[in-house]
Amino acid sequence: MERHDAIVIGAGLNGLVAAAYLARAGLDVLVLDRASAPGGIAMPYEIAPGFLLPRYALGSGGLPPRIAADLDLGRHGLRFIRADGGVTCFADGHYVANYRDGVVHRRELARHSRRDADAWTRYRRDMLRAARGLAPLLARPATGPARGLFAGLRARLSLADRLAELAPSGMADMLRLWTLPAAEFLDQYFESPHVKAHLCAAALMGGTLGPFSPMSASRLVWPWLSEAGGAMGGAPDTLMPQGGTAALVAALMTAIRAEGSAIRLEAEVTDILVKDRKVRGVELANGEAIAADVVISGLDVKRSFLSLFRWKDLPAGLVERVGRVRMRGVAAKVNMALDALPEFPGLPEGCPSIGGGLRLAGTIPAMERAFADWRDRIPPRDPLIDVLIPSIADPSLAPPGKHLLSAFVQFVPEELHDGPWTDESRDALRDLVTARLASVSPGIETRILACEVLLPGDIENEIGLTGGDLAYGETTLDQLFANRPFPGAGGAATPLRNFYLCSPSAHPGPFVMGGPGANAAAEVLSTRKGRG
Amino acid sequence: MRRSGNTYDVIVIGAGHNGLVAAARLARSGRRVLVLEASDSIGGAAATSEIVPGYVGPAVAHLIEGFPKRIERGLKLGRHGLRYAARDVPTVILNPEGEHLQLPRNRKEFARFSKILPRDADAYRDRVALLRSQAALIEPMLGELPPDMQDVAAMRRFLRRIVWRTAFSGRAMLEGLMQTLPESIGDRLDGEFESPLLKGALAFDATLGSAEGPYAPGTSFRAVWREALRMQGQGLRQFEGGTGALCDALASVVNSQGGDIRLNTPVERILVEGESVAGVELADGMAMHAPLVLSAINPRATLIGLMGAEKLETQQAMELCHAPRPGSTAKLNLALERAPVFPRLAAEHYGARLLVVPALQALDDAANACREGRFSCEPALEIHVPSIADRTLAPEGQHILSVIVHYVPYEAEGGWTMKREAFVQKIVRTIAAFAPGIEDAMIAGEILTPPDIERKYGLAAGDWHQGDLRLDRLLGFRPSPSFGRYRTPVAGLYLCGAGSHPGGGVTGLPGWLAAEAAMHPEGSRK
Amino acid sequence: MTPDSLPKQDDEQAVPRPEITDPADERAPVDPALFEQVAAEPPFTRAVTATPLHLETAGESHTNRWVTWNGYTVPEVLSDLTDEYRALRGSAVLMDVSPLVKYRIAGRDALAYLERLAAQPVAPLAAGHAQHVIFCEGGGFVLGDGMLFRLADDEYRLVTEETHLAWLADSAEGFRVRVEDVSATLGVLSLQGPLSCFMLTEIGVDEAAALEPGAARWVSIGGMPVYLSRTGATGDLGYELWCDAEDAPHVWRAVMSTGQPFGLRPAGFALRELARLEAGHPRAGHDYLSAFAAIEPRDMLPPAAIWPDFSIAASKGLFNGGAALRAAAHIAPSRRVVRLAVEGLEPVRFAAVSLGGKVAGIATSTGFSPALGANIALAILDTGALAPAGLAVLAERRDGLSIVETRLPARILAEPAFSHPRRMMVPAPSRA
Repeated sequence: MERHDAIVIGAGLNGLVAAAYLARAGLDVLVLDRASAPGGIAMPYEIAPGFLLPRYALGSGGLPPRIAADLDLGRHGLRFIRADGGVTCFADGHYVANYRDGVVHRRELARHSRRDADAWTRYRRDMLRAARGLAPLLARPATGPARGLFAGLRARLSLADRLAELAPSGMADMLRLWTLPAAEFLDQYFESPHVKAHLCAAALMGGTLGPFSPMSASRLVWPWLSEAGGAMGGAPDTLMPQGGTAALVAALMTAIRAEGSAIRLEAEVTDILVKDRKVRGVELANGEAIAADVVISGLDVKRSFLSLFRWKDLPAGLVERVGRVRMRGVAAKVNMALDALPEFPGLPEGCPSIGGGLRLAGTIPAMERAFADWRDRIPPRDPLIDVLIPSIADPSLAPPGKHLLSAFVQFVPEELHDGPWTDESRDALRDLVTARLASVSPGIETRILACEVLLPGDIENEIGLTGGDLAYGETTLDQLFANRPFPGAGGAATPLRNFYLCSPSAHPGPFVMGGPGANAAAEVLSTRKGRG
Repeated sequence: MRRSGNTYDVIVIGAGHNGLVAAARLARSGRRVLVLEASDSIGGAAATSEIVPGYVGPAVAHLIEGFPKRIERGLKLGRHGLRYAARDVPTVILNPEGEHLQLPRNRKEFARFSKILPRDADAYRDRVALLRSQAALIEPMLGELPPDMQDVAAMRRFLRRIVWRTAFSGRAMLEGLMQTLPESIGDRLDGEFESPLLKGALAFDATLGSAEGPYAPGTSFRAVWREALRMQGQGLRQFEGGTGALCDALASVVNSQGGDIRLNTPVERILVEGESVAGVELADGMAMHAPLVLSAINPRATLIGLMGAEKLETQQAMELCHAPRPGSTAKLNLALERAPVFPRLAAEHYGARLLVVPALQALDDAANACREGRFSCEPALEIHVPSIADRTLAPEGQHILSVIVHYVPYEAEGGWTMKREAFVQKIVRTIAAFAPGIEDAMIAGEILTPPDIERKYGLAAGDWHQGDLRLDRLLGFRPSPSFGRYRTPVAGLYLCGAGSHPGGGVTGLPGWLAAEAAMHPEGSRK
Repeated sequence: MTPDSLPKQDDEQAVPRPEITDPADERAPVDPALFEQVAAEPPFTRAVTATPLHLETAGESHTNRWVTWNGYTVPEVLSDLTDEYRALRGSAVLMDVSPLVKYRIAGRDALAYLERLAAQPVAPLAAGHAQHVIFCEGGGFVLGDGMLFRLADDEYRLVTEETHLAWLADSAEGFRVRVEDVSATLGVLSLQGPLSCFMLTEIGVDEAAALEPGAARWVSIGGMPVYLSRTGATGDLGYELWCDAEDAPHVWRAVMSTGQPFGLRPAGFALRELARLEAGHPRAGHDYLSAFAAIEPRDMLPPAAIWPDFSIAASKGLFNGGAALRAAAHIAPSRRVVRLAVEGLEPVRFAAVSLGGKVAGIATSTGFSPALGANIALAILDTGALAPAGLAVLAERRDGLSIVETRLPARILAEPAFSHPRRMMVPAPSRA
């Protein structure tokens, strides 16, 4: 029987990152994916001949430079582009843009309110403080409460002391951030409804919370986690791989192969072999069995446990625990191929922020309505739309002069209150998105060469992501850190020996690209080291 | 000290139950106390109100669950006429189709409960056990002055004490709390139970008094907090003569110790000399002097309204300047000419706390509707018939029905004047589904929407709790970091209302602890 | 402003009543583009943002070296820093300091509002005078400092380096006071140097000599109303001229044409920085961070850490940060802003300050002081490093294509590198 040190199921981004880390550590790794191309949700896809974009993921967001450096991806052909900005366009014609440069960014805010331009200083301080406190927690495996009576007690006492150190000022700030609704939190800083909506919209994307849901304020911190942000006093920016996620995937593949490990595509894992409560290997759809010391799954937590294992192999209660993990689709993806660069007459000419993405939003009450619609499973009437035209920063993604548009439509329910999505409701959504786009870019509807709408259900059906939840499990605090994937058992290690999760279902979730993969590899390696 | 007519040792603003508890405790310590109440009666939200002559209903709160024995004993309320009409009142969930469900208090009741809900019985027992163990950790914190949360040493002591108390259960307890603190009660219950009735009732208990829906993160913890309050108190009880009897007894304590309670005496402003409080100025311009002033009205009204933002530092004023979240609870009192008849309700349960709750999803819809200014087509109600246990409340053979309605908007779409009638109709129809014929038995009724409660009892935005129970507003951070521990930046001025730790409900604890803080002022605030 | 609130009002009638004196007029809408009349650049670039004096300074610039100060483009050096310095210490210089942030604070409670805002007593400030104020947040950490002018009984002008509108507006809650940013309506010229008074007298401003340090009054220059204050941070005699943004270029030309024969030179931001450094004044956002901008909590400093002679006046009542400062009165700040002098006769670049080989602080402003003949700096040092000896800076000197790193001994300066008694003289010397 074929045998490897480690098997990674799913050649998604995190799977590849985990495999690359393990391969660099000298392990013999085999990556298996049922698809014919690697990439998972970031899989590059041709919407029309010559137009290449990640089909499901937005394609923005950056791999932390730390991971790129660890894996030496530069040597394997990866280049980064710094994407400045992101701009929110409102239905009333106003816009708020992000700038890396503090002077320019404050001037932008002052257009809306001079007071808010000053409040930005304090907001930025508080966000960066929170992000700096959070970053170390995200960059290493989640640690649950320590085990053992005395070790545990000692650990808890020292935790108590560390928490107490926060008392003079940090404690109140921390509690506020982790408790308040985003809208209320922003009220403490800003007065302009546009500035507040601009910041709030970024926080709501991809989440299952509305602007008035308690604890949604903590989401405001995520954009600040990018290691690139902060230096110049403005809004955080991101590093994007040149050539899109396709280039990132290619670089990771090269890195893995360079270390002598293999990637096998069109190899669907149907079963994970378990003996004596230890994972021993996998079985493929063609009946082939491959043995491995460690199996790492890049699938979401539900599919990892519920469809790869025979349930009798799982520890008692695990099926129920997995069943309780909330995964709900909140976003649809709309991909378009455009004949020409869309114009945005409402934005100043040459505004660089468009490269960082364009968000179509209403004010905060409108977001709450959109959130309520989602909860009531009504087709979105006024959704948040996150638009990226990746071909602006990277013309190689589309034929010369032509462009790609990739949009996330936030607050799209998996299923409607009166049944599944129909062709009519799907077309209605497409028309709504086109109409919203046309409101900021008149004439865009005449430039569309191809357009497709991927609903949460489509995402589930096509790549098997439960619920079409691109966050791989809702990102509320009860499903984060030590609670991700399971309450009280955070991290990549699972109750099954030798079986790890490297998808964003595990700590630190979808917020750090490649983070779950890096964490899984770190846990595998530290366990191996521990065993000698 | 000068003992002239308008000089006192202590002035208490607001004669709600918390104000009176503080006044009574301070009066018993030998201080000369003056209680100033703006309205024409004592009691605030814990008063008794006459619906029509002869029919006495509880103004707002109708059952008491968190009133601690030590306050009752400490103030010798028994001697001042406080009697219970009912103790350990059971909770019964009314089932529109099938047997009504009593939440078990003992083994016998549990047996019956598990017969009705065999699939949920074990889960319920586990949940109660978990809730109690988590609540037991919190419970002692409710009855004592919270720690100074901006002082490292005090916080270290406080946190270390928790660690030691959980030395053996620590890991499981921490894991449990880490999960409970952020999660929503709805998700929790969906994972544990099957019966929509039970889930609805438990979610109702956890969210009552707050505008959050059962699927809002953080609501699970409220159930723990409420359980802890219940442990502090003495279980669900009913006072003889209505809820107001508590305040009457407290007033009697104050009076017997030589304290004054003045009604119809609104305070215009709080007088500050230097950095200490000097007294208050009444609406008629008269100044009353005292070195100690305790305010039972809400913190914002006290510090911004009566004292003035300019007496605070900017940061402190900003903490209070955000508009209060509106309350979402309404009250309906009905006078009935005959006893209500609930078919299928056991005779011993007529005096129980009766819950009418829809399924979780509908409860969530109700919360959302409330936020948008509407009320749900499936209202969630807590019904109590106080006249069953206490015959003094209504003429012989006649009754009072007291209803608390959950998720009622502060601002109704189209205005309350337009919606009031339809609202009452909807509630009455809902009750009539369980007690047919109740419409015909109604003699009179009294409805208090959240704005009515604000107007009548001065509760800001009609919020019973004077500030939601949120993690960032607990313990020494309640009502906000600068005003925790009942103290204010002005020496001698204390907050003693539900805005302070441990919060809303008829517990008397904010008043009791504020009096303690006022009697033992520490050195300068850190 | 009422006439009796002005000091020395004998020739008051001669001065045309300026618009600024009437609060009602000042509320009239201000064209926000006033400052940006030179280049209407796209809002997202950091291209030239002009002050009202931009065309004047641009005309004088021989170097085309510009810097961004507070978002505005101002000349760094107009001709040569040494020449400009020589003019500053020997004659006078004229600088464009319009990017300073100016707030108008007016209303019945303006005094009470400022009394709570500032850490120093404000009540003694008479109309027509200015004083230095520090303001802190609730934790007693400095948000900023500035000059507070009392224009009239109920009207003040606060001049700061950085913008603070959010804090000033939040603080107004509960006060009958109106706070507005009037930066764009005013042009500010700084006339500094031993002959500054003389030059003003030459222009016909005879009142300049009698003006005490910190005092201010309305005068007329070239027929234009100018609020003249004897302020400035150069350690020498100096005046600042506050006028309507539209008048500013005319005032500039009037002063320049009169002063040039006597050695008056226009100067840029670099000279302002050097003079400030010699006089030992820390600049907000540069030598210390506003507590709202300090990401690391240790970068938040209490007033005494920046201004060693700061103490809370006995008469001071409630003020922002007061409770925290009083509670911590006995605790020495862990870091301090100090003035350093570094041995060596040629300019060097340095940042890190060390004590016994260990990094003990950072130099925030550095420069070569011709007055002292040494490199000087403002530095933030750990309190433990305030030792009398042993301090050193790690200096870099370029030598061809290599960098020579040298450890130069440094000492703490008790007095500013430059401070001339003329600064405080009344009447001010007005002879060439």
